Formats: sequence, structure tokens, C-alpha cells
Amino acid sequence: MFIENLLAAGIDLAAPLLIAALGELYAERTGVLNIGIEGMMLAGAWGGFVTTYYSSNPWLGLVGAILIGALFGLLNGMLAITMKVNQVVSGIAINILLSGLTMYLYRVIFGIPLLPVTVNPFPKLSLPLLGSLPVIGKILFQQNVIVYIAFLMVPAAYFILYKTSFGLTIRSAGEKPEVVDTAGLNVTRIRYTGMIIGGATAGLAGAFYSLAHLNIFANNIISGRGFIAFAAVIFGCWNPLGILLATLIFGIADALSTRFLTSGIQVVPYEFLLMIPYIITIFATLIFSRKSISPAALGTPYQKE
Amino acid sequence: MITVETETKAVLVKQSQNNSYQLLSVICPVVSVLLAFLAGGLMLLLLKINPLVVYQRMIVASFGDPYNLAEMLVKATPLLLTGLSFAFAFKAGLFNIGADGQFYVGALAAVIVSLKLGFLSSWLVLPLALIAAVITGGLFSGLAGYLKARFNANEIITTIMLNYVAFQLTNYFVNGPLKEKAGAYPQTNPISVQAQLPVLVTNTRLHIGFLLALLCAIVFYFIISRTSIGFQIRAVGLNQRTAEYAGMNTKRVLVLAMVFSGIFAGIAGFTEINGVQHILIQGFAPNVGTVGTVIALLANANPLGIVIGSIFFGFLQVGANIISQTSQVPKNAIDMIQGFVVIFVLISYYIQYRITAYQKIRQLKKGASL
Repeated sequence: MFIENLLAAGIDLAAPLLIAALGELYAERTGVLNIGIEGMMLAGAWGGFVTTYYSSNPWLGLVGAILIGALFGLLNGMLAITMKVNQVVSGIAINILLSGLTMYLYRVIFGIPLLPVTVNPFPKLSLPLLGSLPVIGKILFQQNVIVYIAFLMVPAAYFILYKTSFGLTIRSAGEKPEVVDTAGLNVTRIRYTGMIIGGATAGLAGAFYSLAHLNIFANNIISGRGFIAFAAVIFGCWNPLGILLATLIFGIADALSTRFLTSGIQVVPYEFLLMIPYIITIFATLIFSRKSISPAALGTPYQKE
Repeated sequence: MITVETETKAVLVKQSQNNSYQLLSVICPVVSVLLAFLAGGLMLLLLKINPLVVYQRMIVASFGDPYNLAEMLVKATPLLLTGLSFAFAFKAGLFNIGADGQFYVGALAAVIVSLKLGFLSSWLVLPLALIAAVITGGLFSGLAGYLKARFNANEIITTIMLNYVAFQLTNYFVNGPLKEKAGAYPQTNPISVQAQLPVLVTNTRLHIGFLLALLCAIVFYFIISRTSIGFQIRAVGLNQRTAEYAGMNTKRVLVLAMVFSGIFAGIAGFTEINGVQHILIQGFAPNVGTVGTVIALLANANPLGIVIGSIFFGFLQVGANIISQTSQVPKNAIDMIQGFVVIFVLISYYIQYRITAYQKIRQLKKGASL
């Protein structure tokens, strides 16, 4: 029972990381870093929450989250691609802007509520037949809809990146942009799509926290999960399957720490349990940083000759 | 080694001699800040608040009262130090996003020393608390630097993750071993009078830590521009591979740059605990590191610019406190304006770059026609 619940919760918590990391993968494969992923997840959580609050339809909330994420992906693209601002700096700037902006606009809309404002979240969706399977059903097929979206994105990302000409263009732009340019394709445009896809997926991932996991919005709702997704791309060696594995490890670690928290067994002070996801991320960085090979042109602006 | 050294020097000298470049680098941040206030003002209209009235009240209240004037410098002190922290690593081409965490462990070390050795005279306990903050801050970021040098671990990720570790570590101490005697709130006991930094101006909170922060800015300038290690840091920042070919131990340089960077943030923890708070409260002074980052980017990592920028952001924070107490303007409006400042500054760099490029082309054309 414990393992079953743990794995179910782990998969649930892995889903937003997976969505955000797959989006980051697109961006990085085109050769641009999206460090603004943390802020864009926050914006998605905010946008999804506000849209759902007004429309009482979480599906519209998802659309809102994706749009607002894409918008800031576009802004990051303008800074990092067109203006050639250092990509790390532009991402940090977007994170700072969005942490201030979302809280201010939350305040504008909701004032200072006595109790946190809530919306109706996505319910858990038990898939027919599959959901009633013993053990597996509980772990895999009684999740909320965003989780299914997340896991469907893995084969989709694999197919797009490795089996289509669009994917080949994306990967080439991150490896040798001058070749893409010589072939008559527009590197700038490809990198913009990478940034916008990265932003849109970060928005979607953020909405998971405000619409499926918790049904509130708060300024610490993401608290570093965006950066963990960013790290998962490195551990996943820039490929969708690796990223799936990496985010599952983070999700289960996260679930494990919350399980210890609520179990009441005081083995170590709970503050140390809350450190677990972050410490695991640091260790994973150590183990995988030397092995994994990043796209050759990652982080370098492209200058047409 | 020598040729690389002279070439790098030539580039640096050329940059500083270009007058129009210097003028632009002053105008651009100023215009960016004004635009940020314009954007912030539009956002205030959403709350049906007249931004001009708010800004006017901010300026009058902040500059009209000696207490508030001093308070600006009080708020500027930790920002100046975290700004230096980000800038120092930036000079080596590193991104230390961990100033918040280094600030927290510095504060934690300072408060532990101040509580345990508070019975000693000020001449002993204050230097000890400072040293404790320097060591913990330096080690905490040095860890990220070591992981970068040894394992090539991305320092952005490690420093951010260490921030969360530092927050939880502080939470553990204020809820556990260091929890106040009364036991009501997640905070420590107040530190003794001997452990408090002397006040500079009576009837204000302005403490000697501000001078310490200014001294740090001078030390920053001295290390970066006048010492061999500073030169190596800049060389690694400009091009790590070239620095390596020139015979520099780049790994050592990276670790040292991170250690120094963390020391500045750690000192900020010390000045904030021993100079202002006199107690460590869970979640105190949030975003000190983030705002320091904003200031460092705004000043393009120049120490003098960071001093000016931190006083300006000190003014913003004091102003934000005053108007949030006396009107409907929420305090986090200022966080939003800070965000606008960064974005506009980055855009202004681009414009600055385009203008200088345009001027160069014009000069070349002039030369050609002669």
C-alpha cells in the first residue's frame, strides 16, 4: 500500500517537471537557454488560476496558462535572440519581473482575502478499464488529466525531435546554426519557436500546481521547481526518455519527503526532509554534468556572417 | 602570458577611454529607471491609484525626514553587499544566484556567535561574528565553486538549490535549537547589547555596517583592478580557454571567485543581524539577494554603480514602506517596478550597443571619404 501510494504521488509530482523539462528541451535543442522557466511556471500558475476563477472552467485555465507562458517565452526570445542579451541574464530578469508582477496582479484582482481564494481543480480521472487494474491502475491510471498530458508528451517529443524534418531543423539549429542558415532556413525564427514552446509548456506546467495539485495561488507555489526541471534536462542528457527518468526520480523523492512529513514519524526534523529534492538535484548535477553532452551551440547567439 | 595580459588590458583600457560610451552608460540606466516607473505607474492605475501622487509622496516622505534618509542607507547596506556578491562572480563569468542563501547562512552564523558569546565585550564578539559570517558565506558559495571546477556542475543550478537548503536550515534553527525562550514565534532570542553594531547617527537605525559595506566596495574594486588574482578573474571571465592557455589555473580562479562572492553576501547577513534586526526571525529580509542581483546588472557589475544603485533601491524600499502604510498601494508594487527596471536596463544595453555601432560606422565612413 505504501509503495503504491508513494509511486502514484511520485508520478503526480513528476508530471509538471516533465512538461516543463520537455519544453526546455525544445528550447535548448534550438540552441537557447530558458532560465526564465521558473518565472514562466509562476506566470502559468497565476494565469491558469485567474482564468479558471473567472470562467470556472479549468480547461480554459490551461489555455490561459499556456498563452501567458508563451507570451513571456516571446519576451525572452526578444531579449536573448534579437537583442543578444546574455541568455542567463535575460532569464533571471524575467524571473524577477514575474515574481513581482504575478503577486501584484493577484493583489489587484483579489485584494487581501482573509482565506486563500480557491478554484475548482481538475478531478482525478480514472481511465476506463485501465484504472481498475490492480496496483498498476492505482499508480498509473487514476491521475488527473495534466498527468496524462505530460506522459503523452514524451513519445510526442521523441517523434517530433527525431522523426520529423522540423525536429531535424531544431536539432541542427542547436548544433550547427550556420548549416541551417546555409540551407536557407531562418535560425532566428527556429530559436523563437524554441523559446515560445518552452514558455508555453512552462505555463502549462505551472498551471498543474494551481489547478491540479493545490487549488490556490501563492508566491511560493513553484519554489524552485522550474530550476529543477531545468536541471532535469541536463540529467536527461537532452533526450526525452532521459528526461522522463530524471523527472520520475525527482517526483518520487518529492513524494517521499511529503510522506515522511505527514506520517508523523519524527526521524529527522522536517526542515531536512524539505531539503531532499534540492539536495538530490545538486547530487544529480554532479553525477551527470561530466557525462552528458549539451547541444554544441547552446547559449551562443547566432550572428549571420 | 604577457601578450594575453597586455591584449586584455588594451581591451579594458579602450572600453574605459571611450567617452561617448561612458556617457551612454550613465544615461541608459537613468532612462530605464524612469521607464520602469512609467510602467509601474500604469499598473498602479489598475488599482485606481494616481501614480504621480504616490511617487511624489514617496519622494517627499523619504527625503523630508532625517530618520527616513538614514533608513535608506540602512536598507542599502545589505543590497550593496549582495550586489557586490553577484558582481564578483560575474567578473569571472559565473552566475552566483545564491546570494540569498549565502546571506542566510551568514546571518545564521552571526546570530549563533552573537548569542553564544554575547557576554564578551563588543571588541571581541563583533569581529568574531563577522568572521563567522565571512567563513560560512564563503564556504557555502565556495562549495558551488568547487563543484563547478571539479565536476563542471552548473553553478546556476547548485547556487539556487543551495538557497533552498539555506532557508530550510535557518527554519530548522529558529524552530529548534535556537528558538526563543518564550517559545511563541519562530525566532531567536535577541542578541546582547555588546553584540549590536554601534549606531552612526543618534535617533536613527543607521549603523556602522554601512561603512563596512562601503569598505567592501573599495576592497572589491581593489581586488578586481589592482591585484593579480583580480586580473586572472577578469581574464577567465572574458575567455576561460585563453586564460588557460596563458597558464592560469582557471579552476582555482573559479573557486576563489565564488568564495569571495559568497563572503560579500555573508557579511550582509552579519550587518543585517548585528546592525538592524538584533534577532533572527524566520523568513526575514526576503529577496535581499535577488535585489542585489538587479542592482549588479543595472550597474553592469561596476562597484561605484552598485553603491549608487543600492542607495537608490534603499530609497525605493523606504518609499514603498511609507506608501504602503499610508495608502492603498501594496508593498509588492515595488517588486514589480524592480522587475521592470531590469527588463528596461537590458533593452537599453541593446540600444546602447546599436548607437555605438552606428557611431563607429559613421566614423569609418568619414575616414573613407577623407
